[in-house]
Amino acid sequence: MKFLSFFFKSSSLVTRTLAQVAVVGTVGTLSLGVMSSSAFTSLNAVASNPSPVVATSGTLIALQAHGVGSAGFDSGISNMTPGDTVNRYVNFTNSGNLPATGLTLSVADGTSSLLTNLAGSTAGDEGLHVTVSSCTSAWNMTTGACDSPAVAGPAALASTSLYTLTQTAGTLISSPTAIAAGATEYLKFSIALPNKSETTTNGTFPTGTIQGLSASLTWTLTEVQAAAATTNS
Amino acid sequence: MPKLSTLRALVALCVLLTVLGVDFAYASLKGASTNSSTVIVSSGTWSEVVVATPSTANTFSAYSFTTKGGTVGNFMSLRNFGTLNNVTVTITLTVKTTGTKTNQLQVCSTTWNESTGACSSGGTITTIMSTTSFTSPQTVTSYPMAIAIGGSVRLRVLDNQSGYTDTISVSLARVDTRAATTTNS
Repeated sequence: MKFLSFFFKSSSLVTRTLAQVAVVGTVGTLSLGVMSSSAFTSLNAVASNPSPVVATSGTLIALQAHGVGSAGFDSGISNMTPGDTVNRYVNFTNSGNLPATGLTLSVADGTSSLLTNLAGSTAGDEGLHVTVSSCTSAWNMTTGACDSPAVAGPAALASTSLYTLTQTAGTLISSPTAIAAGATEYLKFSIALPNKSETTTNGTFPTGTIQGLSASLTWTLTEVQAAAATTNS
Repeated sequence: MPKLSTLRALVALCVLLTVLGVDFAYASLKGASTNSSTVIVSSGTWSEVVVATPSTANTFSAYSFTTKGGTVGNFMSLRNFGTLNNVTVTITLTVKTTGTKTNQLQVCSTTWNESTGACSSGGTITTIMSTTSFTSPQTVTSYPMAIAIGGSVRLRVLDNQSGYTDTISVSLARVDTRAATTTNS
């Protein structure tokens, strides 16, 4: 220490400065050394499952087909007269492996005639209407009855104008009523032209006639996935 | 560009929510099916017109003719131009209101001999309506006369005077066609 005090007490400014720098540098180096020695190599241990866990996503697939013995939506309907009803039978299948719900029906008319441009359901509203009902098995094509067994399915839509269905989808099965994966809904579409009094005079149709019109219809059945779930297994 | 302080706040919020385990909205699956080809739905028509012959095209107007008088009369066809069979029809006959005209609108159960005015092969002449110059115009409503699509019925107007213009008009309502049906197909 006497040796060091010699330099700190030197009359030479340069000497004292150099001594101070030396001390600072020494202290700094020692500090770095201490800090460096605190960064040490840590140990790691890893564990993983012996074989891969396969996670898959499900499928939601909607299919429609004509009912047995019915034209379904495969052929047209001609020469409808006010008061007529034509029943067509369509099977809807939730063909994927996920449960579904919220089955809806919408319609598009590529021709856009008064057959689908008239809204409402009261007198004066003469556009095409549809009523949908369902059966738990295939419909009796001869009688139009659900009788084998006579158990109604969950899908139903009260008489609704096609005009309404071109604007807003109608609900056949409300959420959260489930449509099981692979389940088939046997649907009956009763397509009607409401009764109307209309007179043709000397071959001339009245203004706003419902006669001689044509609609080009696309029927869309839509389902959504059932509610997501959190499970412990 | 949002303020730096705002961005920091958003990041902090996201971190907080993640720590709390809050579920974010997920896209749900939807399945839709449509018919493979469009379904054409069409409405029928009911339309009848009186025209000169069974093959005359639709005139879209009442039928006017000059009366021949005598016992042979004027012949015309009531033709179905619609896509539906009819079962009844409403007919209006308008005659010249002058003098003491009498008119009879008639139909033959077989075929007319339009040269002699006879109803051939022992057929029966039925008078649909009788009109005078004092009762014109006269209408018979929902007269039973079934005419198939594209078919026609030959009518005769027997007028006691010649040289006058009479007019026959036809109207067809929904109720004059077939009854409504419910079918399964």
